Amino acid sequence: MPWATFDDVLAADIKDGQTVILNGVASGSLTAATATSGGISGTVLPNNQGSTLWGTLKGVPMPDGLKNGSDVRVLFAKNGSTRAGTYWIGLLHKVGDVNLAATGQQLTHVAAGFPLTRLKGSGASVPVRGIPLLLTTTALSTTAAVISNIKYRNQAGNVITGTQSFTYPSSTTVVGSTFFPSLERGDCAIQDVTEVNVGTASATGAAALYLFEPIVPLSIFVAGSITQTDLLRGARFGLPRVNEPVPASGSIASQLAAVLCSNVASTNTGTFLLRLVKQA
Amino acid sequence: MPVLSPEQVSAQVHADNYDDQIIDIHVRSTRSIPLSGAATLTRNGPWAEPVPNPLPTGCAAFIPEAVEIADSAAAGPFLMYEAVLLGSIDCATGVFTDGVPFPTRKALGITRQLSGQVLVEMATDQVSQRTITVTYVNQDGVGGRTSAAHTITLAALQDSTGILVLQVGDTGVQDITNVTATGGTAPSGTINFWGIIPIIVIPPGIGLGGFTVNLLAEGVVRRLEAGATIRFLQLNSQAASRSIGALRYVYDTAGAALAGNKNPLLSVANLMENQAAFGELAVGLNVRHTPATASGGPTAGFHNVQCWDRDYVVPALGAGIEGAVISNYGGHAAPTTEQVLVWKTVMGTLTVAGNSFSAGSAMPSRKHLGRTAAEQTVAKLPVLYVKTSLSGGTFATVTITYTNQDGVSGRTATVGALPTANPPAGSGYFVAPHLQAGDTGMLSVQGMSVSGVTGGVFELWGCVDLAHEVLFTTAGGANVQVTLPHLPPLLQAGDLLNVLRVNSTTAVGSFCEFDLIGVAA
Repeated sequence: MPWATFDDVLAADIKDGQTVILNGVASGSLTAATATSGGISGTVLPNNQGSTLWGTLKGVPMPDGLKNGSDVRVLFAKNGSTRAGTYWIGLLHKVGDVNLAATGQQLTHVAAGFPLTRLKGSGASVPVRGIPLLLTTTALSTTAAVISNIKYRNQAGNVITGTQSFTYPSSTTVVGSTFFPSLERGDCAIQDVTEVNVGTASATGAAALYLFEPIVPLSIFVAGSITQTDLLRGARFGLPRVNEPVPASGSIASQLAAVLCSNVASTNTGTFLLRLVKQA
Repeated sequence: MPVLSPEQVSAQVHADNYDDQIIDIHVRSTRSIPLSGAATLTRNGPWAEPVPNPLPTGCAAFIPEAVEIADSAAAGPFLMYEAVLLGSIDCATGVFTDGVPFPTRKALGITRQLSGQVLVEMATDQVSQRTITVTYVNQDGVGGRTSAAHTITLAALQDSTGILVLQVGDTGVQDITNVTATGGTAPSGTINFWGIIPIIVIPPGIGLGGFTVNLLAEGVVRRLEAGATIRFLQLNSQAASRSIGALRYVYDTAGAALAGNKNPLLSVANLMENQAAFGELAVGLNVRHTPATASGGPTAGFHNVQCWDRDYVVPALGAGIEGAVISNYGGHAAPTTEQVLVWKTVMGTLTVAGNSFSAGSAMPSRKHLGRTAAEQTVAKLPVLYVKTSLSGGTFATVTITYTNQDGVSGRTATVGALPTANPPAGSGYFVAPHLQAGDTGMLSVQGMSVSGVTGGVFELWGCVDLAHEVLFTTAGGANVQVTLPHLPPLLQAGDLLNVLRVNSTTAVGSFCEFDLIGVAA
C-alpha cells in the first residue's frame, strides 16, 4: 500500500530505513569537454570498492533486501565531494560499448532490449528518458576521434538519425573523461541509442555509452562545502524510486552512482550518503 | 478532488503517479540579439516535452513540482513557460501564418482571455534582414495595436530570441492579427511568435551548481492541461552553453475544488486550494527602462531609480474573491541592481510650466491579508517620478507638502537639488529619506512646487512594495530570494502595479513575472 502521509514515510524509515554510503573514488584529472564535444563535462563517481576504473563501475553498495525486487526510495542525501558543480545521483543504464579505433557504425548494444520502462500508478509502462553519457574506457591516441552522428530513440519514442557531430576534445583524451553527446534541435532526452557512427577513428580508443537517469539532485556551489537534499519536504515532496526499470527484453545491471556536470574536469573525490527506505 | 497539499503530492509520488523528464539544449555558438534597442536579452533554453495528450489514465493535469538545470556557462537565469504559438512569418515571402490566441482560462475567479508577452524566435537562421511590425489585440481586447518596428539583426541565428516591444501603454497581447515584413535583400528565414504564459524563473548555476527549485514551495502552482507546450528561455544571455536539467511533474487528480480560503500564503496547501478554486493569474511583463535615466544623490533619494513608463492594471476579480496577493515573483537584473514590484497611487501631478499642481488620490484604506477590517495604507516608499522630461533649467528642487502617516497635514519634504540637469522621463527619486523629521510615510499630498527648471511634468507616487528581490551578484542575476510583505494589502481591480529598478541608470529591458492568487471573501 503506497504511503499516504508524511508519517507513513517516517514510520517506514524507522522500520526499514538505512543509510548507505557511496565512498567515491578519486577521478583523477580528466579531459574537459569543448563546444564540439557536448559542451559540458561529466565526471562519473562510482564507489571506490568494487570499481575497476573505468571498465567496471560499482555504484552504491546496498543490502540485497533493499535492492532485489523492492520499492526502494530515497528520503534524503548528502554530498561531500571536493568539486563544485551540478551533481545528480542516478542510475547508469548501460547501452553498449563504442569502438573509437575504427570507422563506421561502432556501437555494440547490450543484449537487453530498450526502451527501459517503469510501471506507473495508472497501470501504464512509461519509457525511461535519460541523458546520453559517453565514458571513455580506453584512452585515445594520435587522432581525436569524430563521431559523425548517432541514431537514437528520442523522448517521444521516435527514431532519429542525428546530424550533430561529436569531436573528441583531444587526441589523447584520457580514460574516465565523460561527455554528453548533443541531440537534435527540439530533442531533450533519449530512450535508446542504436548507432554510433564514427567518421574519423582514433589510433586507440573506446567508450561505454550509458543512458543516465538522474534521480537525486545534490549540487555543490562552493568546493569543500556539503549539500543536503530532503526529498520529502524539501527539494521534492515525495521520495523518488531508485529501483532499476524493466528492459523490453533480457536483463540489465544498472548502477546507482553519482554524476557531476561541470565545465571543468579536474580530479574529484565524491562522498555521498543516501537514506533509503523500502515502501512495502 | 484535486491534489491540494504537499502530503497529497507525496502520496501521488509514492503511488508512482509522477513523471520524470529531462530537458536539454546545446547552443554551440553565441546567438544573436535579433531585436535592436534596449532589448531584453534572451535566447532559447532547454527543450522540454509537451504535457502528454491524452493525459495518463487517472491524471487530470500535470503539476510541475521541481526542476534543476546544469548550465555550462552559468550565464543567466531560465524562465520556464507555457508557450502559445501566436503565428509565424516566412521572411522570403512576407506571408504571415496566424496561429492561436492566448487561451481562455479561469483566472482569479473569472474565465477570461489571457494575455502576455510575445517572444520573437528565429526558428531558422535568417538571410539578410527584415523589418517587422506586429499588429495585435492588447491586454484589454483592443485591436489594431502595433508594435515597434523591429529591424531584425542581419543574419540573425536560429534560436536567437527577443521580446516584442509593444505600443506605448500596452502591457500585454491577447492575439496577433498580422505581421508585416519589409526590406532586406533576398531575405529568407522563418520567425515564430510565441505567447509567454510564465511559470517560474530558475536561478542560473552558481559555481556551475544547478539550483533545485521546488515550484510549490516557491509559491507556483500550475495544473497544466493535456498538450500544453512547455519551453524554457535563458534570460540575459546569448552565450553558447550546454544546459541539461531534470524536471518532475506530479499527476493531478480530478474532482471539484474547495471553496478557497482567506490566506493562500499561509501554507502550500492553502495556496494549492486557492489556485484550484479560483485559478492563478500568471503575469509576465517586459519591463523596459529606457532611455537611460538620471542619477539620484544625497539630496535626491540616495539611489538611482528607474520607473516603468506604464503600469500593469489588476483586472476584474471574480465573485467570492475579496482581493488578490502576489504568491511568487521572478525576474532578472544586472548584478547589484534590484527590482521592486510596487502598488502605486498617483498622489499628485506637478506641471512645471506655471508650477501647476493637481491633487491626485490619497492612500486608500484596504484590507490586508489575514486581517478582518480595512486599514489605512501608508505610502512608505513615495517616489518622485519624472513623467515628462524636464527642460529649460539646471538642477530642479521639488517641495512637497503632504499629510504624514499619522494624519498630520502640512508636512514638508524637499527633494533636490537633483544632481542631473533636466532629467529625462523615467527617472525616479525616493522621497522617504527627505521626509520631515519624525515621519515615515505619506497619506496624501496637498501641494508640490518646483524651482530650477521651466518645463516637464512630475508625479508623486505613493508606493507600497509588494516584492523585493535579492539577486545573485554574478551569473546573469536572478532573484534567489524574494521578500514579500507578511501581510500585504489585498489588491483590487484597477490597482496600478509598477516595477522599479534601483541602482542603475542604464537603459535596459528586463523580464519579470508574478502570480496573482485570489483571497476568498
